[in-house]
Amino acid sequence: MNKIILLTVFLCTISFSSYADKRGALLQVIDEEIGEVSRLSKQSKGRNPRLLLRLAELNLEKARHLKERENDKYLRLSVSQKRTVNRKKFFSKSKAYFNKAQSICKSIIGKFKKFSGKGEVYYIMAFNSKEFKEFKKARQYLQYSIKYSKPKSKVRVKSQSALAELYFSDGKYGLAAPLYERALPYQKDSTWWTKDSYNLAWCYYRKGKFNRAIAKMKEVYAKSKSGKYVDMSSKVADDLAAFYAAAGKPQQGIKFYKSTGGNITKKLITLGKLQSDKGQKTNSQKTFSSAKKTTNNPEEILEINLALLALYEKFNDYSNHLKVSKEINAYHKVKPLKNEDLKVFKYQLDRMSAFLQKQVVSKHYKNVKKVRIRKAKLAGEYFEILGSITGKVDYKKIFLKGETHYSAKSYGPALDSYFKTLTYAENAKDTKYIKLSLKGLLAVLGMKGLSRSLKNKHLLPVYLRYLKFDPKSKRAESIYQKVFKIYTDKKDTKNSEKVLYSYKANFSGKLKIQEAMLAQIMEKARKEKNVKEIRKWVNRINKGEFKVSKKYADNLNKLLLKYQFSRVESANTKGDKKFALQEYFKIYNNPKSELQAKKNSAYNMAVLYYELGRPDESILWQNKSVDMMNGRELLRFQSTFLLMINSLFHRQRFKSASDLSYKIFKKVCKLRKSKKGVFYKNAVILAAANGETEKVLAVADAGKKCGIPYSLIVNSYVEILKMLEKSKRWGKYSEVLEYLESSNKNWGSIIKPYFNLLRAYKISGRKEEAAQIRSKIMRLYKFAKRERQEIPLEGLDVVAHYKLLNLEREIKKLYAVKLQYPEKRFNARLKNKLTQLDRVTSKGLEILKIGSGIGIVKSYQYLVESYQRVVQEIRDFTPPKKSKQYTAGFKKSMSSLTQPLLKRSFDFIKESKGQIKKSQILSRENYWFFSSERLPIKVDYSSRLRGIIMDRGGKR
Amino acid sequence: MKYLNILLFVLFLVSCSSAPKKTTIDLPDDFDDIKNEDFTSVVEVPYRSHLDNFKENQAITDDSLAKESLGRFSEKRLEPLIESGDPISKSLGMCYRGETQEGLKNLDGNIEKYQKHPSFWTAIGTCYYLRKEFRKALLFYNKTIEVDSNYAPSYNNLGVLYMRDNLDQKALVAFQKAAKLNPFSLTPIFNLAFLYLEYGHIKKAETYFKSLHNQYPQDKDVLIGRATTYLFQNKIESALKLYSQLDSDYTERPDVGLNFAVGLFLSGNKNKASDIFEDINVEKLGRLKPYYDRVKKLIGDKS
Repeated sequence: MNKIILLTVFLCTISFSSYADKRGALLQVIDEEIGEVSRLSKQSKGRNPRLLLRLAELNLEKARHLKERENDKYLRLSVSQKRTVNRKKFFSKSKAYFNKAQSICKSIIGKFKKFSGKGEVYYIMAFNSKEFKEFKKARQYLQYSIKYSKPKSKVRVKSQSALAELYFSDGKYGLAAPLYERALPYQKDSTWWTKDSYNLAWCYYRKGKFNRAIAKMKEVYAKSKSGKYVDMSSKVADDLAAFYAAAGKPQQGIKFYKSTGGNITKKLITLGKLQSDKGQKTNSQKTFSSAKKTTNNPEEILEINLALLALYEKFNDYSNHLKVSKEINAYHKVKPLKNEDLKVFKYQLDRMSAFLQKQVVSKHYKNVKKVRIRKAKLAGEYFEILGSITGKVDYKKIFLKGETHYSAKSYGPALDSYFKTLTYAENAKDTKYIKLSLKGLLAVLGMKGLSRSLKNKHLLPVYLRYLKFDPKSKRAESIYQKVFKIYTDKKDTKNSEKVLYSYKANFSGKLKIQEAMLAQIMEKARKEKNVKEIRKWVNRINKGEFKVSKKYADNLNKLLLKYQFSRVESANTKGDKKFALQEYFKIYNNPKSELQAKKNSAYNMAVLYYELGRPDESILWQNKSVDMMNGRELLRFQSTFLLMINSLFHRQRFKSASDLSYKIFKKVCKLRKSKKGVFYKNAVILAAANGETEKVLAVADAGKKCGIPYSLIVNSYVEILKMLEKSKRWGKYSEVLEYLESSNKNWGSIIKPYFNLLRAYKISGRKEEAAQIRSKIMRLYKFAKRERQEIPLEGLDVVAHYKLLNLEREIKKLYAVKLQYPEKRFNARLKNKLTQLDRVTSKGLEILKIGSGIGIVKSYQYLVESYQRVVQEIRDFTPPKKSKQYTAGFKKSMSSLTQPLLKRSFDFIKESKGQIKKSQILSRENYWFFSSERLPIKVDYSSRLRGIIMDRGGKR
Repeated sequence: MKYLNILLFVLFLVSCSSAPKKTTIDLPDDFDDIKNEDFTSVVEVPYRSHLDNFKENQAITDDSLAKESLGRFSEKRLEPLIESGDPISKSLGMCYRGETQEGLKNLDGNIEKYQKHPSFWTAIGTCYYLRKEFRKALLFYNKTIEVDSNYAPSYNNLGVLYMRDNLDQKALVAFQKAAKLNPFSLTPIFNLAFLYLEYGHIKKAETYFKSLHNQYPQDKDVLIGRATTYLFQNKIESALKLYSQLDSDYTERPDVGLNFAVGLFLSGNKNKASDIFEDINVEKLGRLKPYYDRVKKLIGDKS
């Protein structure tokens, strides 16, 4: 009854057109059946397990259809919608029905333990579990289904098949196979027979039962072609290759493929790959070889070759791998590989090359040179291929080739590779690889193992290219020097210079190296006696183009000078002085001559003219040379200049001599070891002799600032004073005196000069100033005397003069006292007079101590006169209006007073005469003492002859 | 107009630039007048001290210093020297005659031959002395000492320079040194004699004058000096004996006439004393003015 209803409902809904509509209709039918069965089950109060089973089946059916609809809907969602959608909720409807079905089944099992349809129930439960991806439960339920279903029943067969599939999926081929074996005989009508049998074949294959596997596959193949079953033929065809390969029956496989037709090559390729997977190198190789024979299709050949690459790579068959690589590469050049193939090919090349490279550098091959080289060569070929497969040269691969060869100590090939890399990298402006390749080249060229010829051939070009690329690095610095050495060894001056300039531009601070390079260039020039070249470089140095140490610059200049002057000096030494003179003149006048040469020439000309006895020409050239020379240079020649200047003095060229002395003095003033004192003295004396007051002043001033000994300065100012006195420049005279006075050591010697100034003030009516100087003179004298300074006689005479004036004042006072009576008055005045006489005496004796001859004589004269006058006054005095007795008595008593006074005067005379004779005092007052007393007149004499010059030596 | 100015300016520039510029020194381009032989040292004339005198003046008797000094020579007496072959004598003759420039030049031209001669440097010094360039003279007299530190004339001449500077005490020392270095030379003792006489060292003066007078009785200066020493010592007769050998050229001089007059007066010859006194050239009294007055007071001026 229920089935009729079901059928009716089903037939009613089948008329709908679309699948969805059909599904919808189907669901409707199922719903109606569910309703009906539910109702019936309720009626049976749930005691009918069959109804419950059916209800479960219907729910399961509905769940499946709902799931399909939900899946369709899900698939139509956008990606973003899929991300956001709640899958549980989305599939909740179907899930509900699965759950329901599952729950009904569980209740059936629980309630109806002896139900005969348990197998079906468990089958439904297993299906549900599969839906819930609870495969373990599914397997369990299927096992229960098999257990509780009747043998050979549909349920059992379906359960076996499903369980087998689950085991197959899990890779449990041993469990799957028997299940398939039991189920398949009862599925001969099922379209899925071929699929299940296919699986069974695979189970046999997996279990190593290749023959059975092959047989089953063949069966599947045959049945697939019948049209009744699912067509698994293509899959069988593909898989059989592996089966035959595994069974070790490739020929049978080939035979099979041939018999079945289709693309044999593809099949063989597959077979070959499988053999390769199996580790069957030879078989696989043979298969691929056979495959090649079956086709002319380049793409298929390519495929085979790629497969061969994998095979050879697997078995480290380098030579065959390389061979195939070359084949592929040749093909690629004609028809570029597709991206995927290219990727694979590149991968193989990379792998092999890297592998070989690694071997090359590995310590295992360290001691087997040939092997290492061979491997390096192989690696190189790979890199070569790699370098070209992109159509453009991949110099990076070439570089790797170079690296490999280098590691293998195969330097020649390494060199080639590096060079190639460099060229390509330069063209591509790839600084990284330029640098790497250059580094590589340098490394190779530095290796001992490289042949000399290669080294010689490539060293310089590589260096130059390095410098072109990176002229400023630390390495470049060293390379510059090496390149320079190469050029200098080749005596290639032009290029040596270029290198020097380039080095200088890039390493401007490395002066020592520049100097060393220069020195080498110069050394060559020196050996060749190439004066022009030397001059060129000296000019450059002097202009500051090249900075060298002072010592080196000096040496160079000396060298140049040496060459310039060697000829001349040789002539000079040999006595051809005229020639030497001419040549020096030419050198001096040559506009191209360096300053040093001109200086030297001028100096030498001065000397030659001095030797020639031509002072005026010598003066000219001395001046020129002194003007050009600096202090240090003059220092070297100062002795000669002194000689020449001395000669000029002898030749009465006072001004020139003093000018030169002064010039040189100014230049050597600050230098130690200079004879600046001599130059200073010469300048002063000669200028003073020439009456050049201003110049002497200037020289003295300069001397003060120049550390000339103070005593020399003082002497020069003393000369200046004489000159100023003569020209009556009293203002300047006074200034100079002040300067000299600033040191009290000079005080004794400036007394007379101050006296001169005093006289000048007096003449010009400046009495106050004159008086001040007078006081100063006495102060200076006092100090000098106390300090025991040597005071010139003229100074002492000045002091004596002033003291004599004082004495004269005292004498005046003495004479001013007139003797008079009365007696009291007379006594007082006499006493006064005698006291004053004492005063005169002491003043007079003071003057004697000064040491002035004039002072001594005059003082004695005053003393004698004073004493004798007093005596005479006393003797001449007669008391007025007094008796004779009184007068006689008076006279007598006075006589006793006057006698000693007179005696004292005679003593003074005697003393003075003694002093005059002893000290040979030249005083006009001498006559006062020496002219005869018997003469009634003081005789005098003054000669008109104030010294006669003596022109000759006279009689000897 | 504008373009004309520009043209003129350019022309001006061109003309200026075309003027030759002197960049080299003004020296002869060739050295034809120079020979290598010129560089060789000139043969020096060796110095012989015994020949270091004016042999040309051997015959002169009225100048005690004639062989050593030209200081009291008349121009006429200088001529033979100038014409002599001896460059030093010649140069000195020229200098004493006032031709100092020529004399110095002549000496300069002979420097190489005579540079070892002290008399050579003395001659240069003397020429400068005569030019009143006393500092230069001093330098060359010092140079003479450098050449020969025992050369009497150097010190004598330094003494003369000192006297110029009124440094008579220093001059005394210099003359004494000169006399000591060459006791037979006459100029230093001549200078000493007069210096001593100037300053009242009569005895010393007398000794020197006596020596000179004995050798050269015709040397009037010496005679005068000796006479004066006699007078100072009250040796009137001896003084008069000498004074009477002098003619009026000498007695007119105050330094001679005054003392001669005093001597005559003291000897009782008052008239002659007056005559002599009257003839004295009063314009040349100088320092002797007070003495003149004293003498005038003594003998009574008739005028």
